[in-house]
Amino acid sequence: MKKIFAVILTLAMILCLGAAVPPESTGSPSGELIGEVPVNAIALTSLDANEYDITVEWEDLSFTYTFTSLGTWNPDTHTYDTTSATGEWEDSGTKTITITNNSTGDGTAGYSGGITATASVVLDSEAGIKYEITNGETYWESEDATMNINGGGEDNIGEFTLTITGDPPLSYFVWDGSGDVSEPKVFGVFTITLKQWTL
Amino acid sequence: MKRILALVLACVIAVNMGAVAWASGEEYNPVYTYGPSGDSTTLTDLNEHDLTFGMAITADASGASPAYYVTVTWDSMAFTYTGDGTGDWNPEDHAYEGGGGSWTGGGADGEQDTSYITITNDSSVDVYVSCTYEEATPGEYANGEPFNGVTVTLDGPDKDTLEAGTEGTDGDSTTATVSVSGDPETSIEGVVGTITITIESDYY
Repeated sequence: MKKIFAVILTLAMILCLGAAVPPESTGSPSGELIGEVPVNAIALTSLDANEYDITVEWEDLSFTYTFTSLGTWNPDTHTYDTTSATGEWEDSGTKTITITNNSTGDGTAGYSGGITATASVVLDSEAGIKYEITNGETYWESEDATMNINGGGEDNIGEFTLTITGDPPLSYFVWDGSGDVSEPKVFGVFTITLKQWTL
Repeated sequence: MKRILALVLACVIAVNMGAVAWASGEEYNPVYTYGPSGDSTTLTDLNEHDLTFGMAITADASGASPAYYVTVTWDSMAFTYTGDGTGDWNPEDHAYEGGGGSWTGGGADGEQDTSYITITNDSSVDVYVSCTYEEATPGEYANGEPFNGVTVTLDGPDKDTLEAGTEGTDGDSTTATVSVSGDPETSIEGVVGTITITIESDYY
């Protein structure tokens, strides 16, 4: 019995290491604040008694805000009162994150392959921005969004649609005074938490 | 011995899974919690991943409407010629010949033959300024007669750039100079011509 047990564990180790670089993975998210996420899909796979096989795809969480007015110009001081600047978000400030769950469960410990996906957002308070999240059925305004996604089979795809609203002040950006805003400004962090749920 | 072996292997698995080297070469560390259960090493407990992304804004202000604030000031453009009565009367032509006179009405004090037009840009963007003079057409002549003997001279900007206003400085400005000279052949009153100031911008 001991020998058999040892073989099983060794095998499990090898499989786990083999899954360390998922074949479907095309890149890596990062915990750091970065201006652009260049890769738009990642697969999480594991091989154990309860397999999970989850693919997360997302649009670049890089938003474009176009100013239509820079605010009120003061001809005496040659400066803008930028508090009244206005603009609009490209694509209505909306991005979609799709989660496909092909996980299966053998019922051990009540795991059927289903997962709970939670979307949370942390924003820079100086950005003057709010957000909404929907999964098509429920709306969450400036709060965490949660949905269950069944395992492989039916209803195994869930989507979070993130919409950014509000008008960031012009002073929030590096501005050369002539209309050009130089660098993308990181204004927040979006996190998807995936967690298996048990029956 | 069985328990020790199970514990050691479970820990090794957890470490390997916890530091997954994803394709880009960056390390991503999802949270795994594995717990051996009795003599079993079956992985049953929570599997949880956090995928974290930075969100960024690219702002574009190049299409925003600029603010225009251009001031044009001018002296009086109503000039008066006063003859000094030194000319000679020509009985055949019924007109004075020779003699002299002077122009007034121009300048800030109204006592000169020259007036000035000043254009100042306090806008948020550069503007371009031009000026032109066009003599009155026959339909505009005073009393149907041209101002023979009178010359109007305009010296001013020709698409000169007035730079955008910058904090702590006065607005950029330019000046056009309008002068009248000569001796009118007849005593008439009316429009001698039209000056046009054109202000342009690269933005609309």
